[in-house]
Amino acid sequence: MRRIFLASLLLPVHFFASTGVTEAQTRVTRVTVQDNSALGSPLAINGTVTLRETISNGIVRTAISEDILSRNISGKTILTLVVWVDVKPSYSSPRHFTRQYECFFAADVISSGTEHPLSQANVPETGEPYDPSAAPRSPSAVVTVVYVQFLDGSIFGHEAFGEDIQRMRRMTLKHLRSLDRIYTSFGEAAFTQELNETVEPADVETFFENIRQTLRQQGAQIAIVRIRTSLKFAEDRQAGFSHRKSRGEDSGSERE
Amino acid sequence: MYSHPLIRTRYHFSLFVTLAIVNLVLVANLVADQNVALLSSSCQNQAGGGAARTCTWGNATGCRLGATSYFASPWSCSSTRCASYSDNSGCTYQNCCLTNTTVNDACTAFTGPIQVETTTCIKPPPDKCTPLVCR
Repeated sequence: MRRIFLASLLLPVHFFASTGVTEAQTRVTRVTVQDNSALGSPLAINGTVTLRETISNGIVRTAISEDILSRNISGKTILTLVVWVDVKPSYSSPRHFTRQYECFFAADVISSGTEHPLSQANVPETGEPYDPSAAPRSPSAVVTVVYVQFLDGSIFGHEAFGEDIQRMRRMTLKHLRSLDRIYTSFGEAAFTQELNETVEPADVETFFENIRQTLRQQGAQIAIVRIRTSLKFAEDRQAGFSHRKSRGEDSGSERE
Repeated sequence: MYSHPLIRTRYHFSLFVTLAIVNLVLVANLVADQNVALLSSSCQNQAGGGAARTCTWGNATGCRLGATSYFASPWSCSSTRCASYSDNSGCTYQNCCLTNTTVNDACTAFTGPIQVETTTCIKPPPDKCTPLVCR
């Protein structure tokens, strides 16, 4: 009887603790970013990632807020950059982000000594079933530079990690050339029609949507100038790569 | 029969009964909470029907087997593996689930690893007037 009585006193405490799983519980953690890049990485990385995890009604919702900055310490200009950002929250599933930055068609490049943000402002919030039996892990955020192409065509990292962005570069270049040809051969109307066609994949489509805005706001003549400017940057850079190759320097090496 | 001194008096017996009732209420609340949790993640076909089921775990509207993504707005998810959107920064955000990332038909558990999320920013040519652009 004594045991029953004592148990009756303890039971409310137990239930208050266990109902914490079904009622909203929020945990906010800020972790310092670790740089997991290979030796000789052209970027110095620092920053923090803030994780806000809320457990409610059997669902864990996770919001990620990033403040990650890189600095080009290579002494060379970076044209293309691919990094991985791996975030492990305490309760929800790990997230693996790939961030790709391509400056092949633009005036802006990542010059030596300059900073380049790696944060994404609008990381989507997730919600997934909460497993109360799983022990919470120690949260972490790790950044890895996996592929860099410099202005001279040399590479840091492994080419395989640059395949996706290189494929998009080829598709963008092909479509730019096609648009230039159509403008020259068939005029503004045909050019406008072609430019307004949706392009696949979505990443390349975003590039051309930017030029479409110029078409809508300033007309075909300015839009074609932007296209030819892109082509000029691209062809100058390709020529730089070819020049390096002709001098016997391997632009496809795994390590710079 | 032995009785604990604390429950010998009527006062202490009343306290014992009260605590037992409180416990019962707490248990009932807990069960109710769990029911709410199950209901909020139950499977519902969204408007549109057919194979184009949409779901957002974030909004707890649930999803069926084959609906592979579970992001809250601005992601929409569907029975296709990828969802993407772009913004004014010139970047495209793409979320692709791995093929074996699905929820079970009862919408109560995920199987498989987390999806791949890719951001691609292909910087566009300058849009400001420069000697090259606006000559």
